[in-house]
Amino acid sequence: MSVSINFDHVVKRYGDTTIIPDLSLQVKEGEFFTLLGPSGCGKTTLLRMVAGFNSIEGGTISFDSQVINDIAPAKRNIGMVFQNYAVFPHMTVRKNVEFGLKNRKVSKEEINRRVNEILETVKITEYADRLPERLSGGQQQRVALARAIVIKPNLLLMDEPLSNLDAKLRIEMRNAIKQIQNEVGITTIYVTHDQEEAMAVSDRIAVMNSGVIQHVSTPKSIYQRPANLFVANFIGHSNTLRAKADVKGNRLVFENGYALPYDGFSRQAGDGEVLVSVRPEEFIIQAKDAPGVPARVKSSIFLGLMTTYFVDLFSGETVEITDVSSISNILPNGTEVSLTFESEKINVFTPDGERSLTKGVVDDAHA
Amino acid sequence: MRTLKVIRPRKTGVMILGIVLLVLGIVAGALGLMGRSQADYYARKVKLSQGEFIEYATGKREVEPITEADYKGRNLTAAGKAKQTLNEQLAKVTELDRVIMPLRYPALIAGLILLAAGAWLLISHDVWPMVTVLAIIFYLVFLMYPLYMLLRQALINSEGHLSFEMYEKIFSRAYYSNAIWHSLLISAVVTLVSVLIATPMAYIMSTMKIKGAGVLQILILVSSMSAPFIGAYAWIQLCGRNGIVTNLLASIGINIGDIYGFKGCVIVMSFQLYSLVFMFISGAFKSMDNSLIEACESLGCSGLKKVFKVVLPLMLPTLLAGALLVFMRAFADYGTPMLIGENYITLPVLVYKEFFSELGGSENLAAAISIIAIIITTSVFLLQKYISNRKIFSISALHPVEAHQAKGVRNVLAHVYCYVMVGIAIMPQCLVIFNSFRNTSGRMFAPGFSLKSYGEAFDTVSRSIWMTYLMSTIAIVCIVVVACMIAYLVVRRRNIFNATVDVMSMFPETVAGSILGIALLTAFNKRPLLLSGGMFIMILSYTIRRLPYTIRSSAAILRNIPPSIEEAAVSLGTSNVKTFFRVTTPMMMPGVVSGAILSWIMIITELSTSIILYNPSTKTMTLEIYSQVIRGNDGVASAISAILTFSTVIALALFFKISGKKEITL
Repeated sequence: MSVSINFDHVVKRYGDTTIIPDLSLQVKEGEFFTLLGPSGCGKTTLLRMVAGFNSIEGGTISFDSQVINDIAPAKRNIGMVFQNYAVFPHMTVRKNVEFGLKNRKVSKEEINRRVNEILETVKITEYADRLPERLSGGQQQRVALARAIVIKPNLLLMDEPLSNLDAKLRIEMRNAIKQIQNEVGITTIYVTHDQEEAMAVSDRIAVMNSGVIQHVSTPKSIYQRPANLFVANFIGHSNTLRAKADVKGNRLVFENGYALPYDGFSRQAGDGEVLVSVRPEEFIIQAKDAPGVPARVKSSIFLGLMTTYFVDLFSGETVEITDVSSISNILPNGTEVSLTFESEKINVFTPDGERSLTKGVVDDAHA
Repeated sequence: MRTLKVIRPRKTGVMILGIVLLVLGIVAGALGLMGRSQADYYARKVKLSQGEFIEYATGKREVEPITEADYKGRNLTAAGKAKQTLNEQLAKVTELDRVIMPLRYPALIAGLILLAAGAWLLISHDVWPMVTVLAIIFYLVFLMYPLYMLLRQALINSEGHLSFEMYEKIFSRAYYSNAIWHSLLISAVVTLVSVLIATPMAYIMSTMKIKGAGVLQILILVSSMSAPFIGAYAWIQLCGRNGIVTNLLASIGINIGDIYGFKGCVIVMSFQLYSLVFMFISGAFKSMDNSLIEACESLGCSGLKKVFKVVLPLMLPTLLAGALLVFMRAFADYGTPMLIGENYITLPVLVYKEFFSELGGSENLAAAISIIAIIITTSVFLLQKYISNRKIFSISALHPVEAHQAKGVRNVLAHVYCYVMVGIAIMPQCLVIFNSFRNTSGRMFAPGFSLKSYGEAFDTVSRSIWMTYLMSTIAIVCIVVVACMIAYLVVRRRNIFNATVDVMSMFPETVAGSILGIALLTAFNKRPLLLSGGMFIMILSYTIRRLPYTIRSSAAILRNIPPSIEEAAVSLGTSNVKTFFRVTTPMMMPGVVSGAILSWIMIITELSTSIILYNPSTKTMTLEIYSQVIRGNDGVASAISAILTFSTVIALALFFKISGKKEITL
């Protein structure tokens, strides 16, 4: 019953302000698709347009080939999970889960069978006769999920479902959500601003900013080969260094004259100024006389598995470096070091940060 | 909610001693005051000094017998008359008087010393136990004792035995039992009609865009805050026997019948009180989470089904709370049935008539009926609490319900409904203000407009205008101080004593105003416990009646202030008392003051208690309007009503300014 979803030049305006100028996107059948972006980027707005709670000012949204722009929310056959769960407080867990089925004229036995089945799936059978106020946040979230899935919707929409939970429960619930979605196999659109959560649950992610899609791809591809500097900085953490590209010579020349051998340039790349985005784990710290970018350790934080260093470059910038902790001593503050990079992992962008100059970027939005 | 625990060395003994001294001090002081008042009363009667009279009373001096010398012919001489009066008064002196009169000054001084000592012992430890003790004494003396006296009067017959004679009388005569039935019926029907009018209106105004919604809401508010019987007065002017509409329709041959009796009471009260339900439900929509409605729609449930399956069940506690308030107001209303009810007598009217009637009324009967009224209102109150507590849900409103622009017929119908309903509700105010500017000649309205009515009002009844503001302002100051303290006790220092204070302070809410008035009068209308007939008892009754609301709103504010703020102050070395006045009180003030303004409005527009407790020197504006209406002096009545309405509007503006809110939650 799952559907694919096609956003075709979708526009959203509130009065004179345009939230989404022009957005096109395909979500595949059965896919777990995440809209990721900072708050105010339009991701929730887009989700609510799919649900039918926001109007669509231009373009079309279709399920398979059926345009749903003018179909009432109640008729779209959508399961929705809300940020604050929106579990009906005056109904027991069972009544909540039954609610959608009762509106669908399903026989009594069928309702019972399906409700029991779904309560089992989301592991809340023992709370079936409780009122929501006696459930924890995580349990309420499971009720909301069960209620949304039990109607066998064409599409499951989730609006920041984990943001009201504490950190530990959030990890537990996101694993549960991923697993349940796998079992049920419903096309799912998931909205979050938490990039780690997005990577943990999604088949594919669309990174959004200011109503525009920046990059659509798998979590791995987005993390390792971001399409632009915004994506590189929003997903995980990145340090940005200035350098000159020498495409023919296959090297990146840094400001102090250090030349890093680099063979990752894409076909669009040309010689000249570029921005190099280096994640904290992509630095290699060497003794100070080794070839590289000279730097001095400013401070360090021991985090167990990793140690984070804040290091001043001689150009004046501070970069963040993480290193796997070792038994030997942490580098003391003031230590002079020389930095080099894992050249197959780093990414090179145009000076405006708009485009990647690294080969291997997969972007379904701008394909 | 955490209670604030301040760890201090326990000094239970000192505290108990302090409390004992405090109570002894209050008792001694009260006896001293009473003794002085008695001595003064008798001394004036016999035209002697207090000391001399006390010497006679305690037997230190004998009254010389009346001899031949005191007669001049068959008549007594002046000296003889004095002796006779002295004998008469001495016969009236009770045992208690004989004890307290000579000891009046020592008792007063001892009382003050004990009071100071007790207070000092308690304060040096912690100020709050003293507040608890004072609050308990206050409520025991001024609420529980009067209610006890009322019960006694209802159940004790003329021979001083327990008897149900009064109740037999009430239930055997239709005249009495009908009043109970009438009151119940009117209250129930008014509640139902109010809910039926207000619920759709609140739903429409919360979910659809209505032009001028802001103005409508202010008008609704003003109509709900007006003095209860002004509605009845205005409706009579329009649709009464000689009403404008009645005459107009009669001139074109339509007879609308009359508006008096049950019908009139229901119309007047419903249109005045539905605004309460409206405000409650509108508030509920504000705290309702739109996600719930969206979840409902996304599960395939919309339209009316949505309203009945999700919206209404979630609103039920609020709806019931609003309905309860309407029921209580309708049940307690004295002015409306008095003006428009005519032969349709309700409980408060009956109580008043029995209590004050010079033609064979009975105070015992009035007390017995009052007890029935208290039982009814308390039961309804408890029933509502019981249902609400079982169905109350906390909703975290992340996305409040928004109003959308409706289209076509729906839009037109929604507008018409809201405008008509609000129009009818505000009509009495408009009519009264209009009339107040009409020209008058004698007691009749004359063509044209003038300020004559206002002039006359200021000439003849300026004292009651002044008294209203004076008494209500003193009462409101008392209310704010007492409410802050009791709220603090209830929220931050929970223990069994403070829970008792909480329960006692809330009880007046279930007692109709006129009944509380009767109870106070029963308890404090006789020497030596004579408090009635002055400003004191009026202010006392206003304070007791309005405290529940102010305590509740103050407690709600206090619950939102984290105890850690006070803990921070205490940890920085501030004392408890200082913390309360320097940290807690300033944080509570805006909320408390805005709550107090609403209480002030309710005090200046209240009639049912004042009409029982007033004397000519403490007549209030509402009483003045009432008596002018009865006298048929419509111009002056309208002018005072208009002044009252203007005061209400100004106070409301002040409320919004101080609270920064856009609506009122009751």
